[in-house]
Amino acid sequence: MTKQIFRLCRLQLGNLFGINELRYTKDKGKRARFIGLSIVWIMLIIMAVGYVAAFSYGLASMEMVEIVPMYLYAVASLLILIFSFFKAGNTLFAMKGYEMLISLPVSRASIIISRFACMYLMNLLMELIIMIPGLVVYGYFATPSVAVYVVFLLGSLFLPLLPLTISSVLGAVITAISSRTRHKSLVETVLMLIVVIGALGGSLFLSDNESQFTEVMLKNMAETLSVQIGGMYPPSIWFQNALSGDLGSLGLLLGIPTVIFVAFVAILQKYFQMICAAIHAVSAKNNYKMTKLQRSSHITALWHKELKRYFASSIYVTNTVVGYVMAVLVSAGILFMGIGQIEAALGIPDIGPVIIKCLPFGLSCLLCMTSISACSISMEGNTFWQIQTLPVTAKEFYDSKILANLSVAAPFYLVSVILLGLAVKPSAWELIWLLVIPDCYVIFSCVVGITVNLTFPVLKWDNEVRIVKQSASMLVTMLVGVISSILPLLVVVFTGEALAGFISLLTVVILLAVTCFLYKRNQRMELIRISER
Amino acid sequence: MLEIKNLTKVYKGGKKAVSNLNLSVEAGDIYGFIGHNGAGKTTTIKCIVGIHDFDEGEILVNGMSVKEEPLQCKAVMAFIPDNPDLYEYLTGIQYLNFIADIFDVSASEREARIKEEADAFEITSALGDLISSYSHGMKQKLAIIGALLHRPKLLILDEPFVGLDPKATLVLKNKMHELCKEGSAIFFSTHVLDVAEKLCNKVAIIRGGQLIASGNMEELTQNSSLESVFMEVISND
Repeated sequence: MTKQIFRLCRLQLGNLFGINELRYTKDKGKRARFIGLSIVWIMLIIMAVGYVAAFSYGLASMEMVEIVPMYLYAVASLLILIFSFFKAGNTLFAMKGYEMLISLPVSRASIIISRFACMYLMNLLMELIIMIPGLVVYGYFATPSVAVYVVFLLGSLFLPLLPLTISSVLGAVITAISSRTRHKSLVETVLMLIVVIGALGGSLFLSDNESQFTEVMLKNMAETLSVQIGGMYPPSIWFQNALSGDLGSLGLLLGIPTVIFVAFVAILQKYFQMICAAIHAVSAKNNYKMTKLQRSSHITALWHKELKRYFASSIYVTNTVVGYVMAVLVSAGILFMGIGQIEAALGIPDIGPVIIKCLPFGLSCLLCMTSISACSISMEGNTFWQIQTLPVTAKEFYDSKILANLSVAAPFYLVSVILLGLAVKPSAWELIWLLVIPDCYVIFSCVVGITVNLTFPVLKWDNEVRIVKQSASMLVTMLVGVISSILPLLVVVFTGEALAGFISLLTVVILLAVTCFLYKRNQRMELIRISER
Repeated sequence: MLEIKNLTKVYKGGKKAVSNLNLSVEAGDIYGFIGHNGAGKTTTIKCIVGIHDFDEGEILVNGMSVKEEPLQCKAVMAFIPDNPDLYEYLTGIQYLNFIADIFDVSASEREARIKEEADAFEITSALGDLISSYSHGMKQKLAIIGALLHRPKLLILDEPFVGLDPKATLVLKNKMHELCKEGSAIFFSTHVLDVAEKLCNKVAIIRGGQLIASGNMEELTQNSSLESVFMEVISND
């Protein structure tokens, strides 16, 4: 069984990163794109390591070094919970590979454990990026014994088990609930968003405590904070106690996740077929009677098709709508708190007018965090032959994708702008920028999404997760959107409100110019060329 | 209706899938395209319908070049692949309406044609269900109905009879004959030599990307069967 699990894991991991394809492809362009993307990932990892190290150093320099491990433990667990939540169900219960494998002499437990093991390895990698810099800072400041390092590494190895199991169970429960309703994908999407917003709320609670702590500088804050984090996620306090030499806590830290995981696998093995059937069930009424049909233009037909494709996939929706939902939530938060309270929280007097000038860029950043168009071409997958053989121009095809993205983004954009308008009561110019800048960024993000997806198209895939969560297109588009909106925001912060109008105007002009250029450039990419890239 | 001149297709990595291929399909022809697995049938078909670009040669559909006037060519063509991966998130009727929109078929015409074809293939009652709930054969039937909606002048099919039940196979054969009587042309690949022999008036045999025999069915087979001719030319060449 161990051999089977190892072989299945190797197979899945090779497919996950496209390593096998890269190994055997003779396409130099594909290799170059892979290398380019690897460089981007390495840069992101370096940035994440730097951020965690700086954060840990900050805590340590404020004599809070003892809470560094438990804080990072809680943060890593939360991140694993959120990141694996969307894909756990889809990866664990994917039917395609399962049907092929179960016909071979492979046990059901091997399939389940290998799928879980792959997710574990991926999450372990992400977790270590957070924990290792923290361990280095902790080691430097606390100078612990060798035993502490061993406990730290043991705890880190067992860390992903619990959040992974929780997210898999939650994913299965949500699927079970939604599969009993008529609009399966819609219900699944709403339930997933509720869970993610809840988790994000939890993380904001953590960071909110942190800001209070840095501001108030209470002597016993480390103790208060550790109690709060421990209350929210008990394994983090077990981790803390285990590092202090408490063997009972070490037992809990390693034992509880293992027992829960083993119980989960045992239950899953028994009901796996039933859960899969519930997830992949499709109802057929077989009672259609011909009715009047409406005729539409090419672009309307393509746009409707695109929207139907989008809302048919809960993974596609939940992963691409997060930025839009956050834009509304943050705008509502600002309306609820008021600029005065933000000013007070930041502790910088008279920063209010600068904040108002920065709001359009901040909102743009959230709206550009996710892009629907960035994976819309890849999402065509094995149906792409259809568009290639129909009398449809490349322009119509790309426009329909941009339109679909704009249709989804528009309500979130409007609600956010209205909320912010009510919150800051802007002047006429401020209102214009508040309307125009995020609008330009959303259009820019849609067009860039198409450009990037045309550069990194993936039409052969088994699981939507690979395209929506792990594709180069999504990563690059997100980076472009966030960096392009953060840069002018920083310029406004550092130059003050006097230059804000000019910077806003300059940003809009540059954005529109780049958007027009890319829009025209995209149209030159014929549909026949995409599948050959 | 379809003219292929010196078609050569080389895949990335240097594999020559089709080499210097020439053939001509005229209005009214049912043209069979046969060969081993990997002989180059599907690659040729994909070059015709606009899925693959090609390196050398020319493909003309109704006198228009597929490279220079791809949209005009596609507007008079229809393609049915061997494994119809359709938009599973649409219902059958939504899919057909979408295809009709793209081919600019009027509302009244599409209603009449969908009813006629769906009744013939016996899937009218399933048209309100999502395509994801369809079997392989039902998807194949839906793809055929979609391909026939705009009455194409050139119908290209890749292994069209795989997955179809006997009745649907017969319906498809009749539809192919009907189309040809109306002046259209049909070009299809198949491994089923019996079907090709009975259905086609012309046939081409491809091996290793090269055309090794082509012409009228009767002239090619004479007193023999297509199977014997196929085995003979494949082993002789």
